[in-house]
Formats: sequence, structure tokens, C-alpha cells
Amino acid sequence: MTGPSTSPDSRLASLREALPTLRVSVHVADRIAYARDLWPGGQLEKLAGRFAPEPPLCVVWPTDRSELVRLVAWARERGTALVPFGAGSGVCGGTTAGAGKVIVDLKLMDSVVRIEPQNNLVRAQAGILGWHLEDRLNEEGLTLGHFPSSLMCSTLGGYLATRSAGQCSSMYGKIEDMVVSMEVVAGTGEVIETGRDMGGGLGPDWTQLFVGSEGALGFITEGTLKVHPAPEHRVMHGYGFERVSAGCEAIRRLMQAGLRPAVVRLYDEFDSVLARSGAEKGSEADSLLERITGQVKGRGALPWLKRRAMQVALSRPEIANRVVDELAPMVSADGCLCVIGWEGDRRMVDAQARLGHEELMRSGARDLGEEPGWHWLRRRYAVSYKQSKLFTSGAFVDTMEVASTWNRLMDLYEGVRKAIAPFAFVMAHFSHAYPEGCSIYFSFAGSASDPVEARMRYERLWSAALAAATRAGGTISHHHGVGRSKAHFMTEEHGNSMLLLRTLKSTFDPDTIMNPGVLGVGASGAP
Amino acid sequence: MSSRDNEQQPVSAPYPEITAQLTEVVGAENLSSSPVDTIAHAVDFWPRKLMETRAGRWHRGPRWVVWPGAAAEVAHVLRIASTYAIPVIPYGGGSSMVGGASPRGERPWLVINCKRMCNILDMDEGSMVVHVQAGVVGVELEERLNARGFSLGHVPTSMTTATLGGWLSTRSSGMLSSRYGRISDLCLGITAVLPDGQLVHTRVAPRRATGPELMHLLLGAEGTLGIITAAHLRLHRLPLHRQFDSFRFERIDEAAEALRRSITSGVRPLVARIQRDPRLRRSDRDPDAPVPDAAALARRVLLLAFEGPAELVEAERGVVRSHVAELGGEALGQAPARRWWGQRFAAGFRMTPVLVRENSFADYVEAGVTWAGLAGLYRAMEEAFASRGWRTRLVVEHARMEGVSLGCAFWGDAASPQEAVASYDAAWKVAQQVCLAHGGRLGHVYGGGQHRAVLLDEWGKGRLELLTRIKRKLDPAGIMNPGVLGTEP
Ligand SMILES: Cc1cc2nc3c(=O)[nH]c(=O)nc-3n(C[C@H](O)[C@H](O)[C@H](O)COP(=O)(O)OP(=O)(O)OC[C@H]3O[C@@H](n4cnc5c(N)ncnc54)[C@H](O)[C@@H]3O)c2cc1C
Ligand SMILES: Cc1cc2nc3c(=O)[nH]c(=O)nc-3n(C[C@H](O)[C@H](O)[C@H](O)COP(=O)(O)OP(=O)(O)OC[C@H]3O[C@@H](n4cnc5c(N)ncnc54)[C@H](O)[C@@H]3O)c2cc1C
Repeated sequence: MTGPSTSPDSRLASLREALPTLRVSVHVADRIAYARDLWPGGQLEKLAGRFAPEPPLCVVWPTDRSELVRLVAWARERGTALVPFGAGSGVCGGTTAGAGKVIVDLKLMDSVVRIEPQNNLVRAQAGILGWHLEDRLNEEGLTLGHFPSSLMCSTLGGYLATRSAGQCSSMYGKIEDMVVSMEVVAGTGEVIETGRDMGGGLGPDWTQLFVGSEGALGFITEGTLKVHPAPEHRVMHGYGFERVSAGCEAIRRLMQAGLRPAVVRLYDEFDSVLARSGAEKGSEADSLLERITGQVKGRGALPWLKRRAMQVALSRPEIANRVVDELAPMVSADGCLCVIGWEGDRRMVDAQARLGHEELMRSGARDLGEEPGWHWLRRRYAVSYKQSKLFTSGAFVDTMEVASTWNRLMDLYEGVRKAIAPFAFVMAHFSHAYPEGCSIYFSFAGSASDPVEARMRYERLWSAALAAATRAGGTISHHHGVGRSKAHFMTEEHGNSMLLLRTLKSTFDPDTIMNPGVLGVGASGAP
Repeated sequence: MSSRDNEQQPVSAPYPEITAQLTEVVGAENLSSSPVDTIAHAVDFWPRKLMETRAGRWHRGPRWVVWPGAAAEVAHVLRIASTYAIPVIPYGGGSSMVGGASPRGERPWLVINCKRMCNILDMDEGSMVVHVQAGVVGVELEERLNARGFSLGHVPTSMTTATLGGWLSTRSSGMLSSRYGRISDLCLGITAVLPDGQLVHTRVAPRRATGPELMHLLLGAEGTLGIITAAHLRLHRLPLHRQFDSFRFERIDEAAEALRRSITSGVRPLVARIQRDPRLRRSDRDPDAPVPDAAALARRVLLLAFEGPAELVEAERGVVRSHVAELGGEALGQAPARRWWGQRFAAGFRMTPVLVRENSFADYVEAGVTWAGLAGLYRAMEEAFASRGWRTRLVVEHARMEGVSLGCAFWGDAASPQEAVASYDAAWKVAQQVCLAHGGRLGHVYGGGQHRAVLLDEWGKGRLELLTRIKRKLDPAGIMNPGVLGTEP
């Protein structure tokens, strides 16, 4: 193996020699554009002047598996790290390159291989964008049922690699429930079909062992997934709960009653204000602040206080969070908003919607009618793909999604909230519910006097929040993944079952060329 | 003794020393080398071994059976086994139909019987999650859960024999799998002891996105990578409203299509089975009954059970009925399905009377197949067995979005014990060929053990090769159930 010490030029030359037909770019614009994903910490680094401190060696666009196999062989020989790249919508530094690495963009491998309506299956290449795949299926009267907010800017391979979860996960399942098999080009260069049309064969379920591997074991090149008839009927409804704990209890009972709602979302006191609002444009956090200040104004504060209030709120989050706690009942007169949606076969939808409604009303819900439900549905992809305007004013925004069984959920909620509170303004919603537990999605915004301090504050916030989640017995990520940003916390998350992950890594990527550092395996983790 | 055994296990292996060490760990009352115990652990439910036993060929039992009481003891025992390179069989209920839990060859086997580890460690009723030790027998667990108003929803026919650890290690699929999934779908996390004695515990969350779900390395590994000692499982609440329906179709094709459309519409039946018309039973028993014609033989019934809130159950039944009507099915009411439900555990053991008959042979082929491939596989299987004079009973079960499992019980009589075994092997060859030609995936329910691995196609063998590679890393001494699932003997 030739070490990475050889010059970039000689490595590029050898790459071109090994794969003469491979599309390669060494253009500075590409290398900078591909240097980071949407991890907000990367945004802060840029503001602190580290724009693309370690740009990748190059970006390549393979067109088929055999090219990938040869690329892997070349990388093993040259000791060069490969970074699988879907659409870069990851929010944990999963595709953050690092000097000398090769970014492998899979978006040219984006065809729907076949649709088997009789078997309720679709086979597609990994580089296809989520909404393109969904569009193709819709043409056949089918749906995958996977609707992450990032549907338009993320790929099938990305979903499978990060264990993505969509907005209708309670009904259609998460990506690992949908996939029955994947084709993987492993870090050894071998092509592995993990399952088959009828799932795994004898022995361990390899599909489940490659789902969530974040590029650390190999490239996911194709997937076979279950599909459903496009829903013929949909019922959307809003409910109000006085406190978030009461809402959680109601959702627990709903999920344990044997019903399968498509959408279950509960917003805490402040997130509710936001969820009810327009907020068609801009990031959640931007409009959050508009709302806080707007609502305060609406309740009699002087208009010119607005800007000032925003700044104070963010630089003194512990006070802002407390003020919000006090204001909450006043600001959101309807309490916590809960959106429930049902879809599918008309008869089953109607029966479930009725049963669900009764169950929620028995749990003390206030009936808010259909409109809040439809309002949510219209805005389901209205999150911004642009980074928040707030960043340019020295502030930061980010999200953290955790989960636990019901018995720990309120401790997890309070614990993480308290951990974030000294550093940022924080709010939350509960968006993926299970009979045995629920996820919590925290959004937070903080500020500092300068980018360097912002970065420090941001890091301290994350350390505190991750520790709080683990302490409360929750997982540190429900669906965003680990990437590099949470890699240092994998041992806390998994204890000594990390041993099993390391075994997988050394088996399928013996030379640690595959996205080293993600998931806390391979090389050093810092993004 | 084979040459391999000589290499690994010098003739002067310090058996008394090993026995002493094991005794120290588990206590004298929990270790046995007595004939009673070793004979009891010499065979499992693999029909081929039962047939050999019937013909007078006794199988050598293990040298030791131990009953550890806790994971820490399992860890000690495995460390001893590693030190002396003693092959180990993790043993649950011994209901393996494929030789996964019985010793093979002449080596000095150590059976680790998990049944003493059978306690419920914790029950979180609010989250409907139970933490339970893996040696618990299925029916005992279910009864204890029922007493507290819950059910696991995992009901294989071997419920009264099999243990949780056996289920997890074979990724077992029960008769309620269309609604509740396989045991792996009900499992949220496990505790396992690796061959070097290390304890791993996969933490519990309803779901996480922190890398691959690591418990899947041990689920389905059939004891080749470690011993599962406890698990967290999802529960369901009792009492549940339950209803049944039965329909008759002229052919398997329409019966399957009605079921496929129902599942595709989002119906999640508690039970869904397609089997032969029960009216034929009369002609089976009564030699004077008229011989059924081809049309009668082709007819199939779809038996369904539903569970859940009453209104939803009624909606599901309505959806099914409309699909059935479109496909020309005839409604038979609740009775046939209810009757099946009443005898649901008896069915699995009907093989026993066949097998006690001298020179008979019998087994159960289970193959996964997509909906599109089902009718073709079904007919091919039926014809291939019938043309050789072997009796069969085919059942479609474990229905899900993309397909089903085709079960084919076969049996016949041969002229001698040797011929019975030869016919048994020939029948499996036939099943293998039919599956290869018609897209059937062998080993869909019972696991691989010593048997199915050799029947797999290239793809299937490739998966087992991956397991072997993992095994070399986690079990360098090769002590964990060697030879099972195509791993090195
Ligand atoms: C506005 C916004 C909203 C979001 N909403 C959701 C949501 O609702 N639900 C959700 O789950 N996520 C959400 N995300 C996160 C993100 O979209 C998901 O993680 C998505 O799965 C990433 O897909 P991608 O194609 O962009 O992958 P990338 O960001 O390109 O890559 C992510 C990781 O997967 C690896 N990878 C990508 N493709 C492959 C492949 N083919 N083979 C092997 N490894 C590969 C990469 O190396 C990297 O480690 C959101 C992100 C944004 C920005
Ligand atoms: C009449 C009959 C009906 C059956 N019906 C069904 C059915 O409906 N569905 C179905 O799925 N199966 C069925 N089976 C097969 C069998 O019951 C299952 O494979 C079951 O999971 C085995 O459980 P056990 O506890 O008996 O395991 P064993 O037979 O003792 O062992 C099975 C395998 O698991 C391993 N193992 C056992 N416990 C552990 C542990 N704690 N840790 C690690 N490895 C372990 C063993 O080494 C062996 O490889 C049936 C069997 C019979 C005889």
C-alpha cells in the first residue's frame, strides 16, 4: 500500500490511470462545495474563517457498480479514504471530507431499476433523490411512504446509510422497516446483496447490519423496498393539550391502542406557537424568534423592543428560556398543539380516525378541528435548505433528536432541555411515536459576541445535551445519525457493544478507507 | 476420533480438570455427565436424527451438560471452553428442526442449557416492554405476561417447548407473524455473552440512528457467535377483541390474490393461512367416501383471524370481504377458521405419529416466496412430491407485504431404515430443486442448523460465508456451535 504521503498530483494521476472513464473534478468550486454537509457546526467554522480548511482531493461521479469496485481497489492500494456522498443534506458531518479524501457522489446512479406492483416492491439505485423516487412511484399509483422534511434534497442511499425516518413513520415504518435488501460495494471491494426479495436468508440479517452504516462499511448502490398503494383517503386533525406531559400521555395511549396513525406530532408550549404560525419561508429558528418577539409585542410590548429582545433572548438564553416558561400559557392560549393524520384505505382510515379521536378526547384533548392538521400538511416541507440568516448575525441554530421508552420520556425532555438552556433558546416537538416510546426533536438557537465564542458555546451545548440524553436513558440520535459530530459519544451510546461495530468495520473495511471517523470507527473523529 | 479432534483435543485432555472447573462455576447440581442427561441432549427435533435413532443408531450425547443460572456464569463457562477448545452448544428447548441444538461428530461437546435463566427481570407496563431472561420457555413467558394483562404476540407451534433464546437465535416466525412480525421485530435489545466471556448489552430505545442495529449480529446466528442471555421485548395489551373469517376459492391463485390485496390495503390479520378444503378430511378418513374429483382437490380455503379494537376489526373484515367477492370467493363464516384456531398447537406435532411408524420419513419444507412466485412454486412443489409418491400437505402462512412462506409437510414410507433416510434426503433434494427453479427461499422459518445450509443456492451460501468471517474474529477458537450454518466444523 502506498501511503497517503504521495503528492496529490501523483494520486490524481494514478486515479485517472486506474479509472480512465471516471468523471473527476478537481475544480476548487466543487471541492469547496463538497467539503461540508449541512452540519451547523460546519457553518460556524466557516464564519470563524475556516471555509474549507481541508478540501477533498477531488470529487468523482461513478456511473455503475463496476466503477465503484475499481475505485475501491484503487483506494485500498493507495490508502486513500473514500467518502460516499448522497445529497449532502446530512446534519452531522457525515460527508465532511478532510484533506486528501475522495468524495464519491452517487447521484449519477439514480435510476429506478424496476417496480413490481404485484410484490409491492421497488428496486432503485442509491443516488436517486427521494422525491424523484416518490414521483415515479406515484405515477404507478404507489408510494414509498418515506417523507423526511429533506425529501427534495436527499437520496435513497442517504436514507439507508443514516437510518432516516419520515413524517409518516408510525404507519409506513422507518427506512429499515421498508428495505428488504441492498446491494453494497464493501470496503473490501466485494459486491454484497444483503437480502433478497423475501428479506434475509439464513443467519444474521445483513440488510439490518448495513442499514445505518453511514458509509463506514461500503457504498450502498441499490435498494429493494416495500411500496404501498398511494393513499385514497386522508384525515387530518388538530388537538390541544394544556401541558406537553398530558399530550405525551395521550399519544402513548393512542399508540398502544393498536391504531396506526400516519402522522403524530406534538409540540411543546413554545413550538406550538411556531407550528400554528405561517412560517412558510425561512428556518424554524428565524421564524421562532419572529414569533417570540411578535407575540410579546402582540401582548403589549413596544414594537422597537423587537430587535433588542431577540438579541437579549439569544445571548441570555437561561433568562429567555425561563421567561418563555412563564409566558408559555399566555402565549399559546390553546396549549400544546398535537397534529394527528390518518391515510390509506378509506374504510380503515375512517374507523381508525374515529377510534383515535375518542381515545384522544378521553385523554383530555381539546378538539381544534381539521385546520391545524391540514395547515401542517401544507407546510410539511417548508423547512429551509438554506442555513439560517441567524448565522450571519453571529448566532447559531441546530436541532437534536433523541428518543426513549415512555417511562423515561419526560426525564429525557426535561434533562436535555435543562442542559441546552444555559446556551441557547430551546423548544421541542415529539414527532415519531411508538407503542413503547417516542422521539423528541429539540430546536435551539443561541448567540455569542463573535464566531469563535459562538463555536465554543455550540460545542459546550452539544456536550451537555448528549450527556444529558445518555444520563436520562435515551438514545443520542433518533434519525439524524452520528456522522462525525457525535462520533466521540458512541461509546457512551453503545457501551461495549461497540465491539460488534468494530468487528463489522474490520471485516468489511479492513483498510479503513470507507468514510473513516464516522460512527467513531476508523480514524480520528473530528469533523 | 477424527484427525481434527486429535489436533485440537489431545487424547489426554484434562477432562477431570475441566469438570472440576465447570463444577466450581455452576455448582455440582447444575452439571451433569450422566447418561440420562447426555442422552436427552443427544438429539433435537431434526427428523433425520429421530429416524436414525428409531432405526437403532444411538447418537452420542455431549460430554457435559451445564445449567448456568446467570450471564456471569455463562461467561465463566465460555472462558473455560475457550481455554480447552471445547465445542459448545447453546441449548434452549431443543426444538430445532434442523439439528442446530444437537452434537455432531465425536468431539467432547459441552451443552449449555439456558433454561434456568428464565426470570422476568423487569416489566415496564407503561411502555409495554419486558426485560426477560432468554432461557424462559415460550408458553411460560406468555402465561406470566397474560396474568399481567399483556401478550408477546409470538406464537410458534413449538410454543410449549422452545425458549426465547432459541427464537431469537433462529429469528423465529410464529403463527401471528402477519400482525406482529418475527421475533426480531419484537426485540428491542439483547444481552449476550461472547465466546471470550465478554458481556455485550445493546441499549434499549424505541428506535435509534446511531449506526447499524448491532443486536442483529446475534439474532439469527444460531449460537455460532455467542449466547443470548436476556432481551427486551415489545408487548401488546390483553384483552383483545378477536374475530374469524373463512373463505373458499376454486384455486390457490384466487385465494392468494385475495390475501395479497387485503394485506396491500393495510389489513393486518392476526392469522392468515391458505390450506386445503377441510371437507376433504372426510374422504381422508372414510375409505367409503366418494373419491374427490380434480376440482375438489384444487379448492383452497383462506382462514383468517383478526384482533384489535372492534371497530377496526370490522373495517378490516369489510376490506377483506370486498376483495374476496371480486375474486369469486365463497364465504364460509367464522367456523372453519375458529376450528383451526382451536387446534393450532396440535397441528405441529402431527408428524410424530408418522415418525414412530417403522421406516417412515417426514419433515416440513418452509420456503419464502414473493406473491408473484407463489402459485408457480405451490404447484411445482405439489407435483414434484406427488409424482414420486410422497404425500404432502401445503400451507401458505406468514403473509406480509412482499410475499409469504410456503409450508410443505411431506411424508412417506420406505422399505427399510436405510431407504427411509435415503428417501428423506431425496425429498429434500427435490424441494431444493423446485425452490431453485421457482424462486423459493429455503430455510425461511426454522433456521439452518446442520441441515439447510447445504441446500442453499450461491447467494445463500455467500451470506453464510460472511457469517464465517465474523465468527473467525469473535470466536477464534471456534468453540461456538461449530458446523452450524455452514461454519467450520
Ligand atoms: C432541512 C432538513 C430536514 C431534514 N429532515 C429530515 C427528516 O425528516 N428525517 C430524517 O431522517 N432526516 C432528515 N434530515 C437529515 C438528512 O436529510 C438525512 O440524514 C438524509 O438521509 C441524508 O441523505 P443524503 O442523501 O443527503 O446523504 P448525505 O448527507 O450525502 O450523507 C449522509 C451520510 O450517509 C452516507 N451516505 C450517503 N449515501 C450513501 C451511499 N449510497 N452509500 C453509503 N453511504 C452513503 C454519507 O457518507 C454520510 O455519512 C434533514 C436534513 C435537512 C437539511
Ligand atoms: C413441532 C414443532 C413446531 C415448530 N413450529 C415452529 C414455528 O411455528 N415457528 C418457528 O419459528 N419455529 C418452529 N419450530 C422450530 C423451533 O421451535 C424454533 O427454531 C425455535 O426457535 C427453537 O427454540 P429452542 O429454544 O427449542 O432452541 P433450540 O432448539 O435449543 O436451539 C435452536 C438454535 O438456537 C441456538 N440457541 C438456543 N438458545 C440460544 C441462546 N440462548 N443463545 C444463543 N443461541 C441459542 C441453538 O444453539 C440452536 O442453534 C417448530 C419446531 C417443532 C418441533
